[in-house]
Amino acid sequence: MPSKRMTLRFRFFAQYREYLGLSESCLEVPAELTTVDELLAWICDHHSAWSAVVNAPDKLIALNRQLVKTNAPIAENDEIALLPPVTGG
Amino acid sequence: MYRRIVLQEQDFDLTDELVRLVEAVGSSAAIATFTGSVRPDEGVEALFLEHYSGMTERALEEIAERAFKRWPLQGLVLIHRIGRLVVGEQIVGVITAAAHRQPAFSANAFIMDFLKTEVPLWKQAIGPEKTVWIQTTQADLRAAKSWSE
Repeated sequence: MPSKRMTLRFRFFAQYREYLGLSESCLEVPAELTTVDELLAWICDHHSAWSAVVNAPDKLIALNRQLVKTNAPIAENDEIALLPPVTGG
Repeated sequence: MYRRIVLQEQDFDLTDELVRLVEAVGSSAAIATFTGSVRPDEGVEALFLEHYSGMTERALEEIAERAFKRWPLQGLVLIHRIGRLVVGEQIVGVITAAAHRQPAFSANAFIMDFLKTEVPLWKQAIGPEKTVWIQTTQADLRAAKSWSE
């Protein structure tokens, strides 16, 4: 029996957007993924086109437009953004 | 207390902003102003500032909130521009008003340091030959860390 899935929305900005040629995308992932950490590991294994961005050591992660740490919990319909280091000011 | 946080494409007049702040708070004994503009670096004609709609505005509000919590400010103006800005154009303006110079200076520098490390804004340098995403410097990261709250 196929495992339950949930849909998440991903956003990419600046050099990540250009590298992937993608500003946003929805992805169905296993519903048993509970944290950002688990999600990023799953993406590396199953969606390797995004792995360079997912593995970028200095990336920031936003969940529903708020910066979070990698142990933040995720849920159906969340918006996850992978942000390059910011350079405002 | 006066608080004005704006993210916009159009230019701003910091003198007008200062007048509005002073009208709103009455007389502030200490007012610090900072303006950041596009530097005429070699090979750079303009900057493009990208943002994350909905999050950038929220992050600006949060930085202002942290400054108000940390220092006894009477007024704060924070204006950041987005889009294409040519060399010499203003990017950011910060005005901080308080009863004494120390909180006015400190809050102003604090806001600028966190704009460079926590607010989703990205600068792309546009030149005649190429475009390059500007990188965060170690000095910027150290400056923000030095405020460790």
